Amino acid sequence: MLQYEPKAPYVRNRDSAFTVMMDVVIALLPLYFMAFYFYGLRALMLGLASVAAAVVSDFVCILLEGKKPYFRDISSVVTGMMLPLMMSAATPYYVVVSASVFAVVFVKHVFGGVGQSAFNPAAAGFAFAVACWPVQVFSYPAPFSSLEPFGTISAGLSSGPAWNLFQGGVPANDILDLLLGRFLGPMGLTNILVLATCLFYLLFRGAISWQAPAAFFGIMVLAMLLFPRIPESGPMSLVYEATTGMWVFGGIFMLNEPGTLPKRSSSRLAYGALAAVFTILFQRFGRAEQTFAFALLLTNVFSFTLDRYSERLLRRLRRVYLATRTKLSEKKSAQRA
Amino acid sequence: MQQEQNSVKKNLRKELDLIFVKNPVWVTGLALAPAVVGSFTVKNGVGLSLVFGMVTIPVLVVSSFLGMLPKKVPQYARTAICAVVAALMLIPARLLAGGIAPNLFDSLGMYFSVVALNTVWIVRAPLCQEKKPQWALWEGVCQTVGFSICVLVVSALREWLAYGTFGGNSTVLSVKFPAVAYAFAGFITVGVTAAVLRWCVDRSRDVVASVRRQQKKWRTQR
Repeated sequence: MLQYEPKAPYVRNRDSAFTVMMDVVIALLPLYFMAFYFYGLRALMLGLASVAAAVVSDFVCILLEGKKPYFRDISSVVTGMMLPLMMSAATPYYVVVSASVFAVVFVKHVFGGVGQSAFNPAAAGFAFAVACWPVQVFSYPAPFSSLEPFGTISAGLSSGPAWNLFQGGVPANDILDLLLGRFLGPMGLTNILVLATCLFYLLFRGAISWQAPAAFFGIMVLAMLLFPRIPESGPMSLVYEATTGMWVFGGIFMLNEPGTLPKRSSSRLAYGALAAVFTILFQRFGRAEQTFAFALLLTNVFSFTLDRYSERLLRRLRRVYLATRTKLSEKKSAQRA
Repeated sequence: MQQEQNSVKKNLRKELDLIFVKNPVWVTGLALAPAVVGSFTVKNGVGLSLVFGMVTIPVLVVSSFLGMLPKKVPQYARTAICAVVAALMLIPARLLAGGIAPNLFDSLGMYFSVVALNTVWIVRAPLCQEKKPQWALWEGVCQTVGFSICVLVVSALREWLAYGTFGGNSTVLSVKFPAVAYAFAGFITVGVTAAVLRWCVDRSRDVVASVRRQQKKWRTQR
């Protein structure tokens, strides 16, 4: 028997913030498995260092704010897991740790904690790392090269096919290698097939809504097919861009972050479209080979505005619909009379 | 006589609050643009403080003299006169900056001129028209000291983190964060230092209040 009077809202969803975040963590695990397969123990150690830095800084911030730690909030774990996947497996530990701390302290907690941040913490952390240490972030080891888990890396590092695309050239990689992720690139973004599986898993579980990714991927694919930025056919350009770019990973994991995603379905569609437009513009006119994070940070600014305008638009449409309906009914009644 | 002395002391203390408790940048949010964007080295910080002082103090004093003009002179004309004075003060500021360090003017770039139209005097000049010139001068000095402290702290922090140096001299910092020299990090640094200042001011108020309470207790016990 209930001892208290229930209060609104009465409708309860099966999914809580914890279950949604847990789904994202589960979706990120295969990417870590692939990173471990390609680069060995160092990939996992980078992930662990990043997660530890994010969780510790989150805990310290909560204590400084005078709040009680809430252990079912694992958003900092998700941020910590995402960051190393966007970087090279040879990235020094201080880069990953600094990016994590920046993301949690200056992007998540400065704006009021989980669900309140105006910008995507992972995107901001990555942008900070790129602004500070672009060479370390964009210098990649070859897949299956033995990387030392700690200390300096003895394996040779060089730029990947994303750099070729950025320069306007065509990558010399085999298509099968590109599809299987066997090329120089960030440790979690090269496995397009695994990423596609993650997208379907998250959609199936209901952890992400379909509107923003549909609009985003639709416009991105159309743009790659119709306006390739390299001297290649549309479909080939799409394969190169999708396998080497960060936008596929970002469109699945970062675009749908609940804190920054608009609340209405129509505004989510507009949000995805806007993110795609900004991504294309940054790709064409940006100064780095991976620019999705910067495009997303710019899109985040419009999240609230899109919600507000879509609400106004829907209200106007509803008024017009009601007005026409009443007019029609009046006409009908007049005809009957 | 005693009352007059008390009011002078009160005014002196009131203006001294501008250094920390009502700091123009950290607390009031005035003159943010040069403090955020231009202060990424200690050298720039010194230059900005110098130009700020050279512009703000004379403008506030002139505005107090403008207050003596008949009321027929409209406010917009008075503000225009202040702006002309501020622009003219850039000439001696430029000469002084060149005398202190030859590269100071070049390193400040456009921020040298931006400081001439800082929001501190734009906000305070109309209010200084009701003050005596000596009090306007005192306010200008306190505003300059407050601005200088903020700019020097922010620029020292940013230079240390971004380049691992302090005033051009290398320091012990194994990891450098070059992005801290960018404008976005200026906002973050000003915000973080403002939060630290607020915490310190709150704690000092608590300490002063507790000491006063204790003194009162002792007096009543005696």
